[in-house]
Amino acid sequence: MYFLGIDVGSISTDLVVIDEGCGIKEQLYLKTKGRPLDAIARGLRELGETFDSKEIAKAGVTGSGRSLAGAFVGADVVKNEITTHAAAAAKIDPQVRTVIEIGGQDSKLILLEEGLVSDFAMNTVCAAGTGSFLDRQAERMGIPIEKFGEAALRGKNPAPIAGRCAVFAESDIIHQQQMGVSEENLLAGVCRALVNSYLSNVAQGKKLLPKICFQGGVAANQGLKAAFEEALETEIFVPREHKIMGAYGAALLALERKDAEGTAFKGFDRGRLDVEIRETPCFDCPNQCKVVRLLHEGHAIGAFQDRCGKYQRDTAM
Amino acid sequence: MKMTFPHLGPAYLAAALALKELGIPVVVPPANTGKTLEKGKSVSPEEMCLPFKFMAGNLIEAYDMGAQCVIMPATMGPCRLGEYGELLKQVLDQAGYAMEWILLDTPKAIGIKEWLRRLGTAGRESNATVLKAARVLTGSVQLMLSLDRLEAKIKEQAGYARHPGDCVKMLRSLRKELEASENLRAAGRTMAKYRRAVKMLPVNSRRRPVKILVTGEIYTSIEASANQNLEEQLMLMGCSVKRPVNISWWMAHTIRPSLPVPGRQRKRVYLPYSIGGYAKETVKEIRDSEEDGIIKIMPAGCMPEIVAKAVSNLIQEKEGKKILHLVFDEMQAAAGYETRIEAFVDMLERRRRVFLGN
Repeated sequence: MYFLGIDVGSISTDLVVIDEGCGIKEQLYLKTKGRPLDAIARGLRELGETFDSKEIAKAGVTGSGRSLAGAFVGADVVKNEITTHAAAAAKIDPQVRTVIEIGGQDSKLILLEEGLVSDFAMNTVCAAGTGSFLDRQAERMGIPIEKFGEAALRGKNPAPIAGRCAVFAESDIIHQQQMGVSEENLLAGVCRALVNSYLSNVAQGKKLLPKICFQGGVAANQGLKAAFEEALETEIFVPREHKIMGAYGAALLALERKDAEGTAFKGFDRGRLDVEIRETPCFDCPNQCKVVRLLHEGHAIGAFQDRCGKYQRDTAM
Repeated sequence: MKMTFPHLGPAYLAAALALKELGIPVVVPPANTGKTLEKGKSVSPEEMCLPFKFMAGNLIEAYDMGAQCVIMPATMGPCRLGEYGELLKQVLDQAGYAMEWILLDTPKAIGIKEWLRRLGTAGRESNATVLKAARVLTGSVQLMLSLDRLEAKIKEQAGYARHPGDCVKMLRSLRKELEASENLRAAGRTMAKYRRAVKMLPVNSRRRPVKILVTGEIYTSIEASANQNLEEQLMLMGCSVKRPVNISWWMAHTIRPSLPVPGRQRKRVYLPYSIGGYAKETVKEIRDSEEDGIIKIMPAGCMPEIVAKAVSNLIQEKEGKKILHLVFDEMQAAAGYETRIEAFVDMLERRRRVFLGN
């Protein structure tokens, strides 16, 4: 039997299939491009070519789009990113005490004690310390994001850039550019600014004990890894699976439920359905939920954001 | 002259009934919504805290409904150097919302004579005798105390209820029925009915719920609209919720120092001094808590609670308490809060499962 994990984030949508021994059988990393439903459908179609729907014993979803994903594919576990990322990191290396996760729109810090979350924090102020900021700066300078880290590593004299606010940081970068600072040094400066802003806004003085695991899409950036190593004066571990840790964690949590009967998973064929999203206000009680329903040819096939669960039950079959 | 007051959780229920029984016309502002906040923001300084903006909004809405006089307890002391009420008055005056103001500061701050005079101004339109006034006031205070006790009971019960949603529903309908009651006596009957109903709730006595202490800034704690219904969210997740800071707590805290009874003073290791607001009390609660986890909440820019946060980090480090800090602002994006709250409860649940072996 296999277990499916889906992580729907702001930038990427990842799908992972694992076996009962927690080994990764298949992994997909797709760009969300502002259309999470399309990305999930694409992923399901691709996985459907290798696996049979009946082989999936349980499915778990996570990420900011987890409710949508849960309603669409049918999930046994719908969990927040913190729990899933922690589960994945603890599985990959039980020695990990600190998880630094930087995604497209948010960044997190998770502290572990014997494989269990003991404390966590998320960015509050702004997107200055996240992947979308790096994306934007790379795009502005005309450097492909894949080359960003490599170029930053070459910068031996990082430019001073204020990292507190994305808008101010950009003014700073433009100023440094006008002053003739080299591209490498600028990129190295951006990395350093991001690390400083992460440590002051997210970590806020919490003790980051080794072993430190750096994950999320941004962990691919060598320059950032080096900047973290310099600031924390310790080695940083970037797992091979760093991009899909959320999805892996969701699959692991689904695996935990393997003894329960049945599954809510509705099969890979969901990826072929033509789905329309409709928001329906419900006035049945004072909650006045804005229920989101997924319709296929006029029939509801999934729903979320109904606090009482009435709409979800109606479409469970 | 129609009287009004800003919202603070369930306080309006008792206040409205008391004024009604004394024959004073009263305008209860509509419950806090995004619109209230918008109106409050339009007159408040940008860096003002969230509670101030909500209260200003309440009073503007009440003014538009014909209120001419504001009565407000103002505990000269904790916030804005004791000028909180005065500041609210000035801000609204300048914006053209001219109303008469009766600020009931603590007797200790303004003297019992002045306090009674101000209370007298409030009651000048009532033809009730002093005896009746005293009876009504006592009755409404009693209603408040018993409502706080009952709500606390229901919130604790949420962790054991077979359907956690039952408790949320019960809390909502309790307030609704009290809102509709004619007088204090009818409210008392409603209370009795709900006290019986709590006992009848289907329970699962084998459950061992995650227990959460909610503490922090007082307005954000008491007023659910300022904390995005934090307690309801927790209850729906099957947690037992405890929040000692309520109106009764505030009354006891405000009135006791003006009585000649000496309070029991214990030395506080982490924050021995009062630094304004209720930071000292927050720290004390965090220190003494025996719950599985603590959620400490405050509005953005609340100075005393920022200090309390720093101190609680130290407590977390030294005593291994699990604390989640939430800062509430005008931003209404619920997803970020939900993720944090869910992750926090998850963390407590998983830890307990492993350490207790069930």
